[in-house]
Amino acid sequence: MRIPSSRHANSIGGDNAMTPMIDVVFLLLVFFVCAAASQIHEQLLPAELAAGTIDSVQAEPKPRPFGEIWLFLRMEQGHVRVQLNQGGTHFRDLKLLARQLQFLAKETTDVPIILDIDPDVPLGDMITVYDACYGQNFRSIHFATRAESTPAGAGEPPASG
Amino acid sequence: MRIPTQQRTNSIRFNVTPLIDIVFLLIIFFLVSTHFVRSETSVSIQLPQAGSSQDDEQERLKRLVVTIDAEQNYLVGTRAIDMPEIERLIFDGAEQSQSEFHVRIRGDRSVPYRLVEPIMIACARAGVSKVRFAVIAK
Repeated sequence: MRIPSSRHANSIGGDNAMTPMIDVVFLLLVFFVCAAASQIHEQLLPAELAAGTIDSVQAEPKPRPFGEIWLFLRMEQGHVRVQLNQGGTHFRDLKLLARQLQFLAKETTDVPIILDIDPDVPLGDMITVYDACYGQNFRSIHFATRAESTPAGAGEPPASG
Repeated sequence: MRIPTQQRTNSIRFNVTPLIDIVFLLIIFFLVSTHFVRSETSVSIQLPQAGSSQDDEQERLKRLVVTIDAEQNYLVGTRAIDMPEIERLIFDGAEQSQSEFHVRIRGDRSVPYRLVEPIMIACARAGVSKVRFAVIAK
């Protein structure tokens, strides 16, 4: 006569108990993998502001051996137009501007760039121009502010460094 | 010799261990899901693209994330907020940790610059020099 062992009976019971847990664990694993795949990975574009100087009535004169570059971002017929310095070249194609900045960066990257941005310019275009400057290793990028946007006067450029 | 009876091997034994495992797993799952839902990056916007962007792994602490959605609303977390309150949050953050505090601007690529500029001015006034723009890598 074959005698059923107690050990055999226990092992079968244990396997059965594990099955639903493994099912659920795999289900959750698949869920997290799918959720992670659809998540867009955000990155950051740093900007260093010259904090505290925004309300100064008159900027202190600083020696600028290489001068400074002004980029005027204006909206024109629904498109952004960038002007390089007062009376300078106009760029409708931001790729051409990037190429011009690349050319300037070969000379020096110590020259400060000041972005004078029209209030209607979309953030996407503003980031494209800022990114073009930052990508060419210009590290002194400023944002010009208007006198009316600051309570204590001071239209003098930079909110940034 | 003692022979185990058939009745004894077939007895119903309720194993609670896997049940507890699953319950704890589900609790953790719901906690994590709730955290994701409340986090500031859950607001879906079309971020601008940039080629010289960086990862934010070292900058997880002491920050204020301001989202500007396509409808031109300011959001902190998932809560709609107005500019004076954002200014107050920036000043509070700067007071607590001036050097480490930074402000992250998550703006939809279509929002006009006039909505971004006040945040930057508030940062400059509060003495916060670190501003970060959330972008998608090109």
